[in-house]
Amino acid sequence: MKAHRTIQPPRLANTLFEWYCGNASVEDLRGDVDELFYSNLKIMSPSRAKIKYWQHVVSLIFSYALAKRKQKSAFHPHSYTPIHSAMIKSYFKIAWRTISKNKLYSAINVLGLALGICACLTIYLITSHEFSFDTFHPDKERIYRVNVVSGKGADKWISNCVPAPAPAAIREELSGFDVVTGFHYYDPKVSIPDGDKPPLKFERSNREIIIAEPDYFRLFNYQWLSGNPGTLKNPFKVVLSERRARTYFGPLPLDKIIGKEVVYDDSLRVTVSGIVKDWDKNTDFPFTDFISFSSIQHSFLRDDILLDEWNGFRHSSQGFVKLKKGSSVVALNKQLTALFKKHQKEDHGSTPLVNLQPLSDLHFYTNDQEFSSFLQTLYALIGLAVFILIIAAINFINLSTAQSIRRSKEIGIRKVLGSLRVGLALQFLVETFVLTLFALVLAVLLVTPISLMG
Amino acid sequence: MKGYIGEFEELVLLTIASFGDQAYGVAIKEDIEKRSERRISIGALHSTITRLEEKGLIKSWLGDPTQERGGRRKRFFEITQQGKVSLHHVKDLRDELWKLSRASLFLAK
Repeated sequence: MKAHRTIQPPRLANTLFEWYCGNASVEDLRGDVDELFYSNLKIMSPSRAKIKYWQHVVSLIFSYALAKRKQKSAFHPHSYTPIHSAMIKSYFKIAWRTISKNKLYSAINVLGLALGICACLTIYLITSHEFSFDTFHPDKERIYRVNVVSGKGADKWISNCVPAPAPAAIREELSGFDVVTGFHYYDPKVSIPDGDKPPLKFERSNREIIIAEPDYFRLFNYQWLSGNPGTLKNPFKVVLSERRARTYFGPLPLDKIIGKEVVYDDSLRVTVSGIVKDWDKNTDFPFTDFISFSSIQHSFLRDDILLDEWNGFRHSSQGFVKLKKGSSVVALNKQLTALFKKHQKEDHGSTPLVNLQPLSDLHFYTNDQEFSSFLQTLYALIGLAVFILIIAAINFINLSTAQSIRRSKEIGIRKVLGSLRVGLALQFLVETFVLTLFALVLAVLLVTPISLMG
Repeated sequence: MKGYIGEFEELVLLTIASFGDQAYGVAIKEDIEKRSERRISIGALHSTITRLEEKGLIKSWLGDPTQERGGRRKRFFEITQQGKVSLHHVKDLRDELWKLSRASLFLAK
């Protein structure tokens, strides 16, 4: 063993390997070739072992292994890297020191940005709330409201209602619809008889009670907790939402509530025939009581809801359709207009146009308006939010630029001390990141009370 | 998984596995040469090892410096979980094909 140690690997090959590898980490590879050399010495002549050594070195020089290691080492010149964990820690430390040194500047910067972000977030909350109405219905893109456009030019007005007999006529005479259904808003006083005790009374609630056909539940999807839509075929039945049922009857089990009596306007006595789960998402159909449509003919309601009066318009009478897949709205509008023309005997001077309004527009178009000022306001708000954010960003950039002149000395010293361009850029980016983070946290804190309100 | 395992890669991977955590360059080279009776160059071996490491099939670390290689440290290799899974995949495939072709691969004595 001792004897072998005196014979060294060929110096030239060694130098060549060392030179070729540069600063790549090859300690283990050199160890391997050396080990092979010394073990070869035991079984072959020194000159053959030296030739073998050369072979090993050359095979390594041309190998992928070394190419890879050289490539890896190239990323770490002078074994210094700006993204080393210690450097990143230092960036944060320096950022914190700079921020706390220029307290006024930092405060203005953070506050300005925070207010901008806060305004944007608030606007986002408002718009996303408004745009979220009735987006959860299955087949929502096929659901339309039947509107009637009367008059011409400046006198044009849109009624988001139909004559009471219209839905039935559409269902009978036209094809192209999956569901045609009408319902009527009805705002009665409610009383719940309770044995010998005085009845529970509820005041008129705004637009929560409707008179609906069974088909209403094919238009919109409800989860049935008890009963089924078929029960609404019979007169003097009512389907309640779960929450309303609880208001009327308290914590009774749901199947005990079925068959209980509800009295509307002191004279329309109906029995509960079904209970549906309330929608918990934003909707313009927040109905709680669905009185069966056939109750109209059998009660005083027939004097209010005139089921054969084509010329009258009551805002409480609504017509909704769900189109068949692939139906054209334009063609159906023409057919509907023709149908209305046929039935409306009195002529108001101009023929009313019938217009199907998509469900997605419902929330933004109120009665009588051709243009939605509400929708325009929302778009204006979104534009405003973008603008505010741009201004906040410009303000931020301005303040940082003004500050940068004071920092030039620091940059100079850092460069002299061997800082790389990447490292300097990173340091400033981290500083900005920390400031922005503060602003973001502040903005979120400011917005939280608003988001809790909505 | 990134890429397939080639024949030589499989050989190296299995050899590394057989060494436990004691596999390093020269040991792997000599073991393969002894068993398969073929000469392999140290460059080719380290290239394959590098590729295996890139694929995440093995992991490596530098050992402690010892007297025997002039104080130079060895780089040890060990098979990873992913490496084990890949080997099992290869073996399953082979076994399946062997099972299917047992009749035609029968060697008459």
